Amino acid sequence: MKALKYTMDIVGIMVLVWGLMLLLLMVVNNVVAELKLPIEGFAGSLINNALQLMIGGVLFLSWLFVWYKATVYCRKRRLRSWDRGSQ
Amino acid sequence: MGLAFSDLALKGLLVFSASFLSTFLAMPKVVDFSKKRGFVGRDVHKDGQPIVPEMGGLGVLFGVIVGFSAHCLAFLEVDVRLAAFTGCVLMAGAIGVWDYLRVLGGTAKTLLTVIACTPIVIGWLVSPSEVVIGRPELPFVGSLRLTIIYWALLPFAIAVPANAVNMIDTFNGVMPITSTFSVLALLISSLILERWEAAFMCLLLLGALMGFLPYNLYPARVFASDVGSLAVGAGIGAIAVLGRLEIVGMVSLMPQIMNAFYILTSVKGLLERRQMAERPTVVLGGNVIAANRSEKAPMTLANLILSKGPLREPDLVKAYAVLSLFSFVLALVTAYLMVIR
Repeated sequence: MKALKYTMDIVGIMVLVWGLMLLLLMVVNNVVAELKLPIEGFAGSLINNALQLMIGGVLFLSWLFVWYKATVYCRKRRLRSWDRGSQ
Repeated sequence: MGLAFSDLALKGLLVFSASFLSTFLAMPKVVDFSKKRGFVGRDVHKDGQPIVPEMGGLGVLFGVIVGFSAHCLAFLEVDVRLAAFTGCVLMAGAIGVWDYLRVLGGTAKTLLTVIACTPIVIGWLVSPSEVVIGRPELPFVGSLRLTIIYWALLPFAIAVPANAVNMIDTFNGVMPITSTFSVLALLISSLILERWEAAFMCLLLLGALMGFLPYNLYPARVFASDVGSLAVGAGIGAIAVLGRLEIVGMVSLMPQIMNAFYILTSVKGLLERRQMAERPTVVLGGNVIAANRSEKAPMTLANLILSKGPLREPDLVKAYAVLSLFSFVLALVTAYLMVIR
Protein backbone atom coordinates (compact mmCIF):
# COMPACT_ATOMS: atom_id res chain seq x y z
CA MET A 1 0.00 0.00 0.00
CA LYS A 2 1.44 3.33 -1.15
CA ALA A 3 0.27 5.37 1.85
CA LEU A 4 1.89 2.91 4.26
CA LYS A 5 5.18 2.97 2.32
CA TYR A 6 5.21 6.75 2.44
CA THR A 7 4.59 6.98 6.19
CA MET A 8 6.52 4.14 7.86
CA ASP A 9 9.58 6.19 8.89
CA ILE A 10 7.33 9.07 10.04
CA VAL A 11 5.48 6.53 12.21
CA GLY A 12 8.95 5.61 13.56
CA ILE A 13 9.50 9.25 14.59
CA MET A 14 6.03 9.27 16.15
CA VAL A 15 6.74 6.17 18.26
CA LEU A 16 10.16 7.56 19.25
CA VAL A 17 8.66 10.89 20.35
CA TRP A 18 5.87 9.10 22.26
CA GLY A 19 8.29 6.72 24.02
CA LEU A 20 10.64 9.55 24.97
CA MET A 21 7.68 11.56 26.28
CA LEU A 22 6.66 8.71 28.61
CA LEU A 23 10.29 8.30 29.71
CA LEU A 24 10.51 12.05 30.36
CA LEU A 25 7.35 11.95 32.49
CA MET A 26 8.78 9.07 34.54
CA VAL A 27 12.15 10.80 35.03
CA VAL A 28 10.50 14.09 36.04
CA ASN A 29 8.18 12.32 38.48
CA ASN A 30 10.65 9.86 40.02
CA VAL A 31 13.92 11.80 39.89
CA VAL A 32 13.44 15.55 39.36
CA ALA A 33 10.42 15.94 41.64
CA GLU A 34 12.24 14.01 44.40
CA LEU A 35 15.32 16.28 44.35
CA LYS A 36 15.95 17.92 47.71
CA LEU A 37 18.78 20.40 48.28
CA PRO A 38 20.24 20.46 51.81
CA ILE A 39 19.25 24.11 52.31
CA GLU A 40 16.64 24.95 54.93
CA GLY A 41 14.05 27.73 54.97
CA PHE A 42 12.15 29.73 52.37
CA ALA A 43 15.27 30.47 50.28
CA GLY A 44 16.11 26.77 50.23
CA SER A 45 12.67 25.79 48.99
CA LEU A 46 12.77 28.58 46.38
CA ILE A 47 16.15 27.43 45.05
CA ASN A 48 14.99 23.81 45.12
CA ASN A 49 11.85 24.60 43.07
CA ALA A 50 13.84 26.75 40.62
CA LEU A 51 16.35 23.92 40.15
CA GLN A 52 13.56 21.38 39.55
CA LEU A 53 11.94 23.71 37.03
CA MET A 54 15.27 24.28 35.27
CA ILE A 55 16.11 20.57 35.02
CA GLY A 56 12.54 19.83 33.81
CA GLY A 57 12.84 22.60 31.22
CA VAL A 58 16.22 21.35 29.97
CA LEU A 59 14.81 17.80 29.65
CA PHE A 60 11.78 19.12 27.77
CA LEU A 61 13.95 21.14 25.37
CA SER A 62 16.20 18.09 24.82
CA TRP A 63 13.10 16.09 23.93
CA LEU A 64 12.08 18.73 21.35
CA PHE A 65 15.65 18.81 20.00
CA VAL A 66 15.78 15.03 19.49
CA TRP A 67 12.36 15.21 17.75
CA TYR A 68 13.53 18.02 15.45
CA LYS A 69 16.85 16.34 14.58
CA ALA A 70 15.15 12.98 13.89
CA THR A 71 12.75 14.74 11.50
CA VAL A 72 15.48 16.66 9.65
CA TYR A 73 17.52 13.44 9.27
CA CYS A 74 14.46 11.51 8.07
CA ARG A 75 13.57 14.22 5.52
CA LYS A 76 17.11 14.28 4.08
CA ARG A 77 17.12 10.49 3.73
CA ARG A 78 13.71 10.52 2.03
CA LEU A 79 14.76 13.26 -0.40
CA ARG A 80 17.85 11.19 -1.32
CA SER A 81 15.68 8.13 -1.96
CA TRP A 82 13.36 10.29 -4.15
CA ASP A 83 16.43 11.43 -6.15
CA ARG A 84 17.60 7.84 -6.57
CA GLY A 85 14.11 6.81 -7.68
CA SER A 86 13.88 9.54 -10.32
CA GLN A 87 17.34 8.82 -11.81
CA MET B 1 -23.77 9.41 37.01
CA GLY B 2 -25.76 6.60 38.58
CA LEU B 3 -27.41 5.32 35.39
CA ALA B 4 -27.23 1.83 33.88
CA PHE B 5 -24.72 1.44 31.03
CA SER B 6 -27.51 0.50 28.58
CA ASP B 7 -29.34 3.72 29.45
CA LEU B 8 -26.17 5.76 28.94
CA ALA B 9 -25.48 3.98 25.64
CA LEU B 10 -28.99 4.78 24.40
CA LYS B 11 -28.63 8.45 25.32
CA GLY B 12 -25.16 8.50 23.76
CA LEU B 13 -26.61 7.14 20.54
CA LEU B 14 -29.28 9.86 20.64
CA VAL B 15 -26.66 12.62 21.07
CA PHE B 16 -24.48 11.18 18.27
CA SER B 17 -27.45 10.80 15.90
CA ALA B 18 -28.70 14.32 16.63
CA SER B 19 -25.34 15.98 15.89
CA PHE B 20 -24.62 13.72 12.89
CA LEU B 21 -28.01 14.18 11.20
CA SER B 22 -28.23 17.92 11.88
CA THR B 23 -24.76 18.54 10.40
CA PHE B 24 -25.32 16.20 7.45
CA LEU B 25 -28.69 17.74 6.60
CA ALA B 26 -27.57 21.33 7.20
CA MET B 27 -24.52 21.13 4.92
CA PRO B 28 -26.36 21.71 1.58
CA LYS B 29 -27.89 24.86 3.12
CA VAL B 30 -24.45 25.97 4.34
CA VAL B 31 -23.03 25.41 0.84
CA ASP B 32 -25.83 27.53 -0.71
CA PHE B 33 -25.39 30.23 1.94
CA SER B 34 -21.60 30.40 1.33
CA LYS B 35 -22.09 30.61 -2.44
CA LYS B 36 -24.73 33.36 -2.16
CA ARG B 37 -22.60 35.45 0.25
CA GLY B 38 -19.44 34.96 -1.81
CA PHE B 39 -17.69 32.99 0.94
CA VAL B 40 -15.71 30.95 -1.58
CA GLY B 41 -12.07 30.09 -2.17
CA ARG B 42 -9.89 28.36 -4.75
CA ASP B 43 -8.83 24.74 -4.36
CA VAL B 44 -5.19 25.40 -5.25
CA HIS B 45 -4.20 21.72 -5.34
CA LYS B 46 -6.37 20.89 -8.36
CA ASP B 47 -6.03 21.54 -12.07
CA GLY B 48 -7.89 24.72 -12.99
CA GLN B 49 -8.14 25.68 -9.30
CA PRO B 50 -11.95 25.26 -9.01
CA ILE B 51 -13.92 27.59 -6.74
CA VAL B 52 -15.25 25.86 -3.61
CA PRO B 53 -17.65 27.29 -0.98
CA GLU B 54 -16.06 27.88 2.42
CA MET B 55 -17.57 28.32 5.90
CA GLY B 56 -18.53 24.62 6.01
CA GLY B 57 -17.59 24.77 9.69
CA LEU B 58 -20.93 26.47 10.35
CA GLY B 59 -22.56 23.07 9.79
CA VAL B 60 -20.26 21.55 12.43
CA LEU B 61 -21.22 24.30 14.91
CA PHE B 62 -24.91 23.69 14.17
CA GLY B 63 -24.46 19.95 14.79
CA VAL B 64 -22.75 20.59 18.14
CA ILE B 65 -25.58 22.92 19.26
CA VAL B 66 -28.27 20.38 18.26
CA GLY B 67 -26.33 17.52 19.92
CA PHE B 68 -25.99 19.55 23.13
CA SER B 69 -29.73 20.32 23.08
CA ALA B 70 -30.46 16.59 22.60
CA HIS B 71 -28.28 15.80 25.64
CA CYS B 72 -30.18 18.38 27.74
CA LEU B 73 -33.51 16.87 26.63
CA ALA B 74 -32.38 13.28 27.24
CA PHE B 75 -31.18 13.98 30.80
CA LEU B 76 -33.68 16.79 31.54
CA GLU B 77 -30.82 18.90 32.93
CA VAL B 78 -27.97 21.09 31.68
CA ASP B 79 -24.63 19.45 32.41
CA VAL B 80 -22.02 22.08 33.29
CA ARG B 81 -19.16 20.18 31.62
CA LEU B 82 -21.07 19.70 28.40
CA ALA B 83 -22.14 23.35 28.44
CA ALA B 84 -18.49 24.42 28.94
CA PHE B 85 -17.43 22.16 26.06
CA THR B 86 -20.13 23.58 23.76
CA GLY B 87 -19.15 27.11 24.82
CA CYS B 88 -15.48 26.48 23.90
CA VAL B 89 -16.46 25.10 20.48
CA LEU B 90 -18.78 28.04 19.73
CA MET B 91 -16.28 30.62 20.94
CA ALA B 92 -13.48 29.19 18.79
CA GLY B 93 -15.94 29.02 15.86
CA ALA B 94 -16.82 32.69 16.37
CA ILE B 95 -13.09 33.56 16.32
CA GLY B 96 -12.86 31.59 13.07
CA VAL B 97 -15.73 33.62 11.55
CA TRP B 98 -14.04 36.83 12.65
CA ASP B 99 -10.72 35.69 11.16
CA TYR B 100 -12.44 34.79 7.91
CA LEU B 101 -14.21 38.14 7.59
CA ARG B 102 -11.45 40.43 8.92
CA VAL B 103 -8.29 38.38 8.01
CA LEU B 104 -6.34 38.37 11.28
CA GLY B 105 -2.60 37.79 11.42
CA GLY B 106 -1.15 34.49 12.70
CA THR B 107 -0.18 35.91 16.10
CA ALA B 108 -3.50 37.75 16.59
CA LYS B 109 -5.49 34.62 15.76
CA THR B 110 -3.43 32.45 18.12
CA LEU B 111 -3.79 34.99 20.94
CA LEU B 112 -7.54 35.21 20.34
CA THR B 113 -7.97 31.43 20.59
CA VAL B 114 -6.47 31.66 24.08
CA ILE B 115 -9.72 33.26 25.32
CA ALA B 116 -11.71 30.25 24.05
CA CYS B 117 -10.95 28.57 27.40
CA THR B 118 -13.25 31.10 29.17
CA PRO B 119 -16.31 28.73 29.24
CA ILE B 120 -14.20 26.16 31.15
CA VAL B 121 -13.22 28.79 33.74
CA ILE B 122 -16.89 29.84 34.05
CA GLY B 123 -17.89 26.17 34.40
CA TRP B 124 -15.33 25.78 37.21
CA LEU B 125 -16.68 28.88 38.95
CA VAL B 126 -20.27 27.59 38.67
CA SER B 127 -19.56 24.00 39.72
CA PRO B 128 -16.00 23.26 40.93
CA SER B 129 -17.04 19.74 41.96
CA GLU B 130 -17.93 18.84 38.36
CA VAL B 131 -15.38 20.88 36.39
CA VAL B 132 -12.15 19.62 37.96
CA ILE B 133 -9.14 21.76 37.05
CA GLY B 134 -5.54 20.93 37.86
CA ARG B 135 -5.81 17.17 38.35
CA PRO B 136 -4.38 15.65 35.16
CA GLU B 137 -3.79 11.91 35.09
CA LEU B 138 -0.56 10.56 33.63
CA PRO B 139 0.54 7.04 32.69
CA PHE B 140 2.81 5.41 35.35
CA VAL B 141 2.49 8.52 37.54
CA GLY B 142 -1.24 8.69 38.28
CA SER B 143 -3.23 11.75 39.23
CA LEU B 144 -1.28 14.94 39.83
CA ARG B 145 -2.34 17.97 41.84
CA LEU B 146 -1.16 21.01 39.91
CA THR B 147 -2.49 24.33 41.10
CA ILE B 148 -0.60 27.32 39.70
CA ILE B 149 1.08 25.59 36.71
CA TYR B 150 -2.18 24.08 35.42
CA TRP B 151 -3.98 27.44 35.47
CA ALA B 152 -1.03 29.00 33.64
CA LEU B 153 -1.18 26.28 30.97
CA LEU B 154 -4.99 26.12 30.66
CA PRO B 155 -5.31 28.77 27.88
CA PHE B 156 -2.79 26.79 25.80
CA ALA B 157 -4.73 23.55 26.34
CA ILE B 158 -7.39 25.03 24.05
CA ALA B 159 -5.30 27.34 21.85
CA VAL B 160 -2.68 24.71 20.91
CA PRO B 161 -5.09 22.02 19.62
CA ALA B 162 -7.30 24.67 17.96
CA ASN B 163 -4.38 26.10 15.98
CA ALA B 164 -2.79 22.69 15.36
CA VAL B 165 -6.02 21.40 13.77
CA ASN B 166 -6.33 24.68 11.84
CA MET B 167 -2.77 24.29 10.46
CA ILE B 168 -3.36 20.74 9.20
CA ASP B 169 -6.52 21.68 7.26
CA THR B 170 -4.79 22.06 3.89
CA PHE B 171 -6.04 19.16 1.74
CA ASN B 172 -9.50 17.74 1.01
CA GLY B 173 -10.73 15.65 3.93
CA VAL B 174 -7.57 15.86 6.05
CA MET B 175 -9.08 17.88 8.92
CA PRO B 176 -12.22 15.72 9.48
CA ILE B 177 -10.32 12.43 8.98
CA THR B 178 -7.44 13.20 11.36
CA SER B 179 -9.80 14.80 13.90
CA THR B 180 -12.18 11.81 13.75
CA PHE B 181 -9.31 9.48 14.74
CA SER B 182 -8.39 11.84 17.60
CA VAL B 183 -11.96 12.03 18.90
CA LEU B 184 -12.39 8.24 18.54
CA ALA B 185 -9.24 7.71 20.64
CA LEU B 186 -10.61 10.09 23.29
CA LEU B 187 -14.00 8.33 23.17
CA ILE B 188 -12.58 4.84 23.72
CA SER B 189 -10.18 6.16 26.39
CA SER B 190 -13.03 7.86 28.24
CA LEU B 191 -14.95 4.57 28.18
CA ILE B 192 -11.89 2.66 29.45
CA LEU B 193 -11.40 5.22 32.24
CA GLU B 194 -15.17 5.54 32.88
CA ARG B 195 -15.33 9.28 32.20
CA TRP B 196 -18.93 9.27 30.96
CA GLU B 197 -19.33 13.01 30.40
CA ALA B 198 -16.17 13.07 28.28
CA ALA B 199 -17.68 10.22 26.24
CA PHE B 200 -20.79 12.33 25.59
CA MET B 201 -18.64 15.27 24.46
CA CYS B 202 -16.75 12.93 22.10
CA LEU B 203 -20.02 11.56 20.66
CA LEU B 204 -21.28 15.09 20.13
CA LEU B 205 -18.15 16.17 18.23
CA LEU B 206 -17.82 12.84 16.41
CA GLY B 207 -21.38 13.11 15.06
CA ALA B 208 -20.75 16.62 13.73
CA LEU B 209 -17.42 15.59 12.17
CA MET B 210 -18.89 12.53 10.47
CA GLY B 211 -21.81 14.59 9.16
CA PHE B 212 -19.32 17.03 7.65
CA LEU B 213 -16.84 14.45 6.30
CA PRO B 214 -18.74 13.35 3.11
CA TYR B 215 -18.87 16.98 1.92
CA ASN B 216 -15.16 17.61 2.51
CA LEU B 217 -13.77 14.38 1.04
CA TYR B 218 -11.88 14.53 -2.28
CA PRO B 219 -13.07 16.29 -4.43
CA ALA B 220 -14.33 18.66 -1.72
CA ARG B 221 -17.75 20.26 -2.14
CA VAL B 222 -17.10 22.61 0.79
CA PHE B 223 -14.17 23.70 2.97
CA ALA B 224 -14.39 23.87 6.77
CA SER B 225 -12.33 27.10 6.83
CA ASP B 226 -11.10 28.50 10.14
CA VAL B 227 -14.66 28.34 11.52
CA GLY B 228 -14.64 24.54 11.44
CA SER B 229 -10.99 23.77 12.12
CA LEU B 230 -10.61 26.12 15.11
CA ALA B 231 -13.92 24.89 16.57
CA VAL B 232 -13.01 21.19 16.19
CA GLY B 233 -9.51 21.74 17.64
CA ALA B 234 -10.90 23.71 20.59
CA GLY B 235 -13.47 20.94 21.11
CA ILE B 236 -10.74 18.29 21.29
CA GLY B 237 -8.79 20.46 23.76
CA ALA B 238 -11.91 20.99 25.88
CA ILE B 239 -12.62 17.23 25.99
CA ALA B 240 -9.03 16.60 27.12
CA VAL B 241 -9.25 19.20 29.93
CA LEU B 242 -12.82 18.49 31.11
CA GLY B 243 -12.37 14.70 30.87
CA ARG B 244 -8.92 14.81 32.52
CA LEU B 245 -7.51 13.13 29.43
CA GLU B 246 -4.75 15.66 28.71
CA ILE B 247 -1.99 13.19 27.78
CA VAL B 248 -4.32 10.94 25.74
CA GLY B 249 -5.56 14.04 23.89
CA MET B 250 -2.01 15.14 23.19
CA VAL B 251 -0.98 11.72 21.84
CA SER B 252 -4.16 11.42 19.74
CA LEU B 253 -3.33 14.78 18.14
CA MET B 254 0.24 13.78 17.26
CA PRO B 255 0.00 14.33 13.46
CA GLN B 256 -1.52 17.79 14.02
CA ILE B 257 1.03 18.70 16.71
CA MET B 258 3.92 17.36 14.57
CA ASN B 259 2.71 19.51 11.66
CA ALA B 260 2.45 22.63 13.85
CA PHE B 261 5.87 21.94 15.44
CA TYR B 262 7.52 21.60 12.02
CA ILE B 263 5.94 24.84 10.77
CA LEU B 264 6.93 26.78 13.90
CA THR B 265 10.54 25.53 13.81
CA SER B 266 10.97 26.14 10.07
CA VAL B 267 9.28 29.55 9.67
CA LYS B 268 10.31 30.61 13.21
CA GLY B 269 7.06 32.32 14.12
CA LEU B 270 3.30 32.33 13.79
CA LEU B 271 2.63 33.12 10.14
CA GLU B 272 -0.56 32.72 8.10
CA ARG B 273 -0.43 30.71 4.85
CA ARG B 274 -0.73 33.90 2.82
CA GLN B 275 2.22 35.45 4.73
CA MET B 276 4.66 32.65 3.79
CA ALA B 277 7.09 33.47 0.97
CA GLU B 278 7.02 29.91 -0.39
CA ARG B 279 4.47 27.09 -0.22
CA PRO B 280 5.53 23.79 1.39
CA THR B 281 4.22 21.86 -1.63
CA VAL B 282 4.03 22.38 -5.40
CA VAL B 283 1.31 21.16 -7.79
CA LEU B 284 2.73 19.28 -10.77
CA GLY B 285 -0.48 18.98 -12.78
CA GLY B 286 -2.86 16.04 -13.07
CA ASN B 287 -3.66 16.64 -9.36
CA VAL B 288 -0.18 15.39 -8.42
CA ILE B 289 1.50 17.19 -5.51
CA ALA B 290 5.21 17.24 -4.68
CA ALA B 291 7.31 18.59 -1.81
CA ASN B 292 8.80 22.03 -2.36
CA ARG B 293 12.56 21.39 -2.12
CA SER B 294 13.49 25.05 -1.69
CA GLU B 295 15.45 25.90 1.45
CA LYS B 296 12.96 28.72 2.11
CA ALA B 297 9.90 26.43 1.95
CA PRO B 298 8.35 25.73 5.36
CA MET B 299 8.64 22.15 6.58
CA THR B 300 5.15 20.74 7.13
CA LEU B 301 3.84 17.21 7.58
CA ALA B 302 2.77 17.25 3.90
CA ASN B 303 6.26 18.35 2.87
CA LEU B 304 7.73 15.52 4.96
CA ILE B 305 5.37 12.88 3.53
CA LEU B 306 6.02 14.07 -0.01
CA SER B 307 9.81 14.17 0.49
CA LYS B 308 9.75 10.50 -0.59
CA GLY B 309 8.19 11.47 -3.93
CA PRO B 310 5.11 13.11 -5.48
CA LEU B 311 1.61 11.76 -4.75
CA ARG B 312 -1.92 12.36 -5.97
CA GLU B 313 -4.03 14.29 -3.46
CA PRO B 314 -6.22 11.28 -2.43
CA ASP B 315 -3.07 9.20 -1.77
CA LEU B 316 -1.60 12.03 0.30
CA VAL B 317 -4.80 12.15 2.35
CA LYS B 318 -4.54 8.35 2.86
CA ALA B 319 -1.01 8.89 4.21
CA TYR B 320 -2.42 11.37 6.74
CA ALA B 321 -5.06 8.78 7.68
CA VAL B 322 -2.35 6.14 8.27
CA LEU B 323 -0.46 8.52 10.58
CA SER B 324 -3.70 9.30 12.45
CA LEU B 325 -4.42 5.59 12.81
CA PHE B 326 -1.03 5.06 14.47
CA SER B 327 -1.54 8.03 16.81
CA PHE B 328 -4.98 6.56 17.63
CA VAL B 329 -3.31 3.27 18.65
CA LEU B 330 -0.62 5.09 20.69
CA ALA B 331 -3.34 7.12 22.45
CA LEU B 332 -5.19 3.93 23.40
CA VAL B 333 -1.95 2.37 24.71
CA THR B 334 -1.43 5.54 26.77
CA ALA B 335 -4.95 5.22 28.22
CA TYR B 336 -4.30 1.54 28.99
CA LEU B 337 -1.05 2.49 30.79
CA MET B 338 -3.13 4.87 32.93
CA VAL B 339 -5.41 1.98 33.93
CA ILE B 340 -2.76 -0.66 34.73
CA ARG B 341 -0.63 1.67 36.85
